[in-house]
Amino acid sequence: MGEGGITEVFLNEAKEILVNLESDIVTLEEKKDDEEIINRIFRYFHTLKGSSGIAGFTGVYEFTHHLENLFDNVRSGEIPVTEVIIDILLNSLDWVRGELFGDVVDEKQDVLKSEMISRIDDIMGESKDKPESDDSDFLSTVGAYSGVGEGVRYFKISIRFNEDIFFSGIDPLMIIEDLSMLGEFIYNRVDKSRLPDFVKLEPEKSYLSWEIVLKTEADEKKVRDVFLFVYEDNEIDIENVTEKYHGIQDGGYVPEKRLGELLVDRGLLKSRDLDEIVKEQIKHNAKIGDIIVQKGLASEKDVVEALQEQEKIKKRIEVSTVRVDSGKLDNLMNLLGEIVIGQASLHRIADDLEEDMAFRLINALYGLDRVTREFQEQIMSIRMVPVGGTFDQFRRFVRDTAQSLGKEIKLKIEGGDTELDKTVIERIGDPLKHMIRNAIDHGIEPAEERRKSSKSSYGTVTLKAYHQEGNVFIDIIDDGRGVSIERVKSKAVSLGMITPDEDISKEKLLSFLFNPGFSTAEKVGDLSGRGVGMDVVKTNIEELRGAIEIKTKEGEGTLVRVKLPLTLAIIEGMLIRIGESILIIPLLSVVETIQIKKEDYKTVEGKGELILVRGEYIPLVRLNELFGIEAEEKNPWEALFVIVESGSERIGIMIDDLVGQQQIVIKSIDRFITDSRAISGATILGDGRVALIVDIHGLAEEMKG
Amino acid sequence: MKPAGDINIKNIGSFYRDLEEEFAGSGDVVIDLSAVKRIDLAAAQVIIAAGRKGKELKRQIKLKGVSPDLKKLFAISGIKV
Repeated sequence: MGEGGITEVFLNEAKEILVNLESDIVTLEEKKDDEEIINRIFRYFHTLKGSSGIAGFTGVYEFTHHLENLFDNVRSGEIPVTEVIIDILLNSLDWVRGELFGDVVDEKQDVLKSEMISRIDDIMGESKDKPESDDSDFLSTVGAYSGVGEGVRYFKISIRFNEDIFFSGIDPLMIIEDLSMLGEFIYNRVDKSRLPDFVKLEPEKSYLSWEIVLKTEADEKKVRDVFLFVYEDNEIDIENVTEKYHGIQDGGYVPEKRLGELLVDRGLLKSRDLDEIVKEQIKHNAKIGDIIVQKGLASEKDVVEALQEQEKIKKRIEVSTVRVDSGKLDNLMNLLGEIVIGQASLHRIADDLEEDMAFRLINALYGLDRVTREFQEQIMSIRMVPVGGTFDQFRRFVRDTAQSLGKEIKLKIEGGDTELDKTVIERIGDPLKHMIRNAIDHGIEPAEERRKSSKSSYGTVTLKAYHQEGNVFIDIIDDGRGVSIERVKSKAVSLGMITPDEDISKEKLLSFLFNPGFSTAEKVGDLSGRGVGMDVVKTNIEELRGAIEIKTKEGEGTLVRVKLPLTLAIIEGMLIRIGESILIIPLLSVVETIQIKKEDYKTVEGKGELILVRGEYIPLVRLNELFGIEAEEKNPWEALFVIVESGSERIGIMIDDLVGQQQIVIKSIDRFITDSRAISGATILGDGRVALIVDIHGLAEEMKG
Repeated sequence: MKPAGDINIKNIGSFYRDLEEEFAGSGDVVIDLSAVKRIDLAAAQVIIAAGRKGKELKRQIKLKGVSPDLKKLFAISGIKV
């Protein structure tokens, strides 16, 4: 195997591990006793150590060895989780990241490394100096813990690795070693029959397979976790054979009782009760959740929550184990786009056919349309990634930023399992980071100020994602001081955007915050307040065909709401005609289509043409003038209008005719064709013609000049 | 032969070739592992295959200086030391 291959695989894996580790370590700071997190962190260090060794990053290997040792002691309870430990772990991650992904050789790296190792050694030294507690070793030696209750389990595990497993940067032996760390192999047969003779041996292939019986106190999930990264392409079979080894025939043991275990973990159920319930479950063949509720041992809500957690864990495992080349997904989406275009052209042919034939063709096409739509949903669902991963990355950021500003801030994450298109997720990170930074820097007040206004001393920044009306919303909420509308207004006046006595809505004033160079910060902080930023955030969001708005109440907090489309590749579009040209308006932006009376049209100096729509004058746009095309209707009262919305503004687009509504496959166009912001792309219609897609936000910007 | 450091997929090719050279000579093949920290499955497989070849050629493969950590790895890969 080429070294480049291994290195690449390792670096990809390491990037993922570092992100997960960072998030877990910051969470650990809040939940210091969470065994699951502690075990996970240990496993990550173990994997990082092993893989870095294989990939030849000896420095990282040796360093992570220290971390693994340290954390092994944390895991065993010898070293408690403290601020110092968290600090060491986070700094250590920075060092590893610098080693693996840093651009230049940096002296600071060496200093950081020695400092971390010496701090780790100090802590390890202290823990060794402590007298060992006398409750464990003696009792273990005399077998006080072996075979106690449900603790000891037996698993029969058959493992046959894929011949090419080394290519994915995994050492099978390390996995078997991890498994052995869970307990004792009471049976281990290594099948070497596939191993060729020495001369024919290809040393880079894996040939051995295993039959193991593991005696362990770990539960089935922990055993399965060992194989987390190799389930997909290898033959791994895990069977709980405890009954066989214990000779339990009375149904006292049931291998799959995870729901009960979750409730025990949550302290809602006692292990003793669980045993009784499991017996009853077998006797009556009922659902374990139902029995628990019936017996009044936990409420239905608790059971539902535990079930949801179980589902989430499963989902998380699935999410973290499926790896698909994203290029392949893009190709699939493009191909599907071609199918949609092909279908549109078949519909077009049907229009020209005689009635009978047309009817038959259209009927057949309906079936095909349904399948294509389902197909599209399936591909989109593969492209969908939970937003939680991106959210989790901010835990460290919030912690560090809050610390550097001397503020106390908690980050609350809600709806992390809300899914978004991969491309949207990749591009939403930076804007989100900017908004979080704003919330911390400008929103949340220092502890003292908060106490004075009878608030909790720590501020809370909430990241919340949810689905609504075919869109995904992300709210960034802070319970800080809110935005001062007065200050925004006086700033707008000083910039000449409005006159002092102009009657202007709160929404409109707040939308000024997205203008370039507009900042109400009293002083420029290290982090934000330079008046650059929110305009860039807005542009980024709009490039994703999303929208952004701010809601705020002085003294109580601010909410920034980002609205995003589920996918970027296909949209529902309204086809409009102007002269000979067909243009497309994204249906999401369309409010209504209307005709106006002659008296509802007027021209105002400095504001151009306006039309009266539902009691409000809104700007009229003639796309034909903007794009240099010939329109049939010259008089607004003889034409049709599509009313669209960009942020809090409405615009009336004057058109000759409405053609219809259909799914539009977006094709990007080069900027040399047009540099107009009012065009976001193009599509190919059923008859082979190209139609331009109007970018409503861009159009609004162009109109402002 | 006396390899050093880790024997794994990255250097398995040269370890395999070194063993080939050892077989080209005569007498027992002694692998001194006292400077080896860790092996992976690729290394374990080469050692097992070498053991079989040794048997065929009626030459012994002797593993020397095996640390407790290595011993454990040998045990789980089915190599008797």
